[in-house]
Amino acid sequence: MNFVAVFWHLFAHGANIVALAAGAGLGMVFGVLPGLGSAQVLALLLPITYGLDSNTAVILMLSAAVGTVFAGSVTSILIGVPGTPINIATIIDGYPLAKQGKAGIAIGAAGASSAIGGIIGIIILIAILPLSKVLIMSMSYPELFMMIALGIACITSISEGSRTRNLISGILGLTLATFGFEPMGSALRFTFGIPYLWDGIKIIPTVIGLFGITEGLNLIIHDAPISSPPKGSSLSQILRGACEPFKHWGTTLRSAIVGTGIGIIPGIGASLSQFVAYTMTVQVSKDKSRFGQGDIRGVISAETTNNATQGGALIPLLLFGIPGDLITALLLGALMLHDIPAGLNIVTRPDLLLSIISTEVIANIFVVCIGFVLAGYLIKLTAIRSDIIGIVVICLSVLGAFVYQQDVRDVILAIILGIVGFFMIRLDFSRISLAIGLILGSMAEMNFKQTLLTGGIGAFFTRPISLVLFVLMIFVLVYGFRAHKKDFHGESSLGE
Amino acid sequence: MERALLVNKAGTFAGDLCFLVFFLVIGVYALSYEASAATWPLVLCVLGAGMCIYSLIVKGSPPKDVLSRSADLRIRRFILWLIILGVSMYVVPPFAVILVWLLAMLKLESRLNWRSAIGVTVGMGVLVYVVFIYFFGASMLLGG
Repeated sequence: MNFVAVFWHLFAHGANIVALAAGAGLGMVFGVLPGLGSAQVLALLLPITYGLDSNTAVILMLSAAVGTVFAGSVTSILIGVPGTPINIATIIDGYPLAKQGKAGIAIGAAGASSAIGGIIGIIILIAILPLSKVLIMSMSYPELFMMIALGIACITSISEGSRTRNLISGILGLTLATFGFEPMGSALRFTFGIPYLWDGIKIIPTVIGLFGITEGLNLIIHDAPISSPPKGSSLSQILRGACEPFKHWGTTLRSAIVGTGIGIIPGIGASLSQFVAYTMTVQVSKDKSRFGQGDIRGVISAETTNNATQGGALIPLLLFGIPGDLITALLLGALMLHDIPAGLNIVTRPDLLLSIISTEVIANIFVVCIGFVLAGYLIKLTAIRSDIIGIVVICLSVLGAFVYQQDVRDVILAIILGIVGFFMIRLDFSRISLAIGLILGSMAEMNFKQTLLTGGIGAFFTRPISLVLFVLMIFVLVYGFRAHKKDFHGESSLGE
Repeated sequence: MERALLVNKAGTFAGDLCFLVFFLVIGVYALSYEASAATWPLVLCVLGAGMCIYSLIVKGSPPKDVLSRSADLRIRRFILWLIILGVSMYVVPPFAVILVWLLAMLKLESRLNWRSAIGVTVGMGVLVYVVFIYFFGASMLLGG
């Protein structure tokens, strides 16, 4: 069965077209609302897929996931609030662009980058599917730990202000992740007698607090619209922005490769890959002065990567039945509902394999087209008085925190971290480093412990890939500190 | 107001000190756990405290407020409003609390006219009902 025939077979069915549109639309609604993201929309859709044909189910799930990621980038750009945690890096340059009246360009670039990233990710997936087993097998606990450490080092080197304080924020995030039950053990740590902390500091309310509520407070103390009036019509800006990933094709391609490469490693995901790719983009650029203040290459890098990571995450799912992230875990659930064995057995269902691949391609293009039409209206939000937007953002953030597990204590946590986040900005600490430290914390601890148990501390330095990652991490940290020393007396170049 | 106005470029002494105390407290707590549970937090606390001390010694300087007095007062008031919002959700159904809070903020803080404030609140109510309650099934928003 060839690709074109399967492609035609899939999208000649009305039900599949409806599933594509419904999944993308629903994903975009969930992506725009703080607290709701891919996990929630896929969890909502999972039981619905039971009554659907397996191909239609896959189309519905994948298009919803793609829609969420793109819509999340729109809120990151327009109001500085990431719709989902994997859109955090988009804020760094997207939000300053919106403030300069270039939201359309940023959204255009984000949309085109998302589509290109998704498509390149899939092309790489097809190309390396036979070879990826070797890569996956070469990554053990020390490599995974070093990968996370490298990611945090990258984040501290790209956020604004003092690298020391960014590193403190990252370590703070990792420390907060140790609260609650110990991974691979039964000890309860740092709960201070509060039962709510048994589950640890939850990621979703934290991200909502640090970005949604903090940004809401920031918007409230402004008394002007978020941005100056758009330069040119929204549509012309969006179309101009859509050309940017092609102009900066090196950035686009590099970010897609990084995204797919990291996506292949189970458990790492786009939370990390977006920052690794962003850091690489900054490091290899001749002119670094615009990053953090509205450099379109920053948006391209972040958005290409998070979509390409999705393509990469499909590899361990399809090859071994190992979900690389939450999205693929729920996709695996949908496959299991239809008695489709994931893993190497999927080669017995080439139609489904091609269905997954072609859906990723079509969904990316479809979502971007719809997104561009809607973005013209969404950009007008930035012309509304910022304190009104801030109040609405806080309301949506509080709702998002509550809806996550329908627990008022999550709202309290989000509010506390929202206030902490506000003061972190004033005191020059990085919220991004804190959030990523928290997200990756338990994984870092688990891999750290497993390494100590299986090979001792020496395993970090005796295994070649781990050693290379360690050297890279030291390079990023030293380079970051040296760069910081240079601009210590002047303005720092990168924004949060 | 630009971010530059928000960021206290000159002094983050208080922040460094707060985080140093945090790492020391967590580190001391960690000492009371078994070795397997304590190792990782201790590694982090030593690193974190070390970085805080480095930051204090090398770059520390007393905090200098850069927010204007009116903005500072407004933020303090809003933080109080936020706390009221969170606490009220314990006793009144969150859906009602959010809408009342939104209306109050639009009217009292943003000084919108009644028509606009009610319009935004009703729009928000419909959105929340359709997406969160009807579609997502978050019936707890209505209490119970």
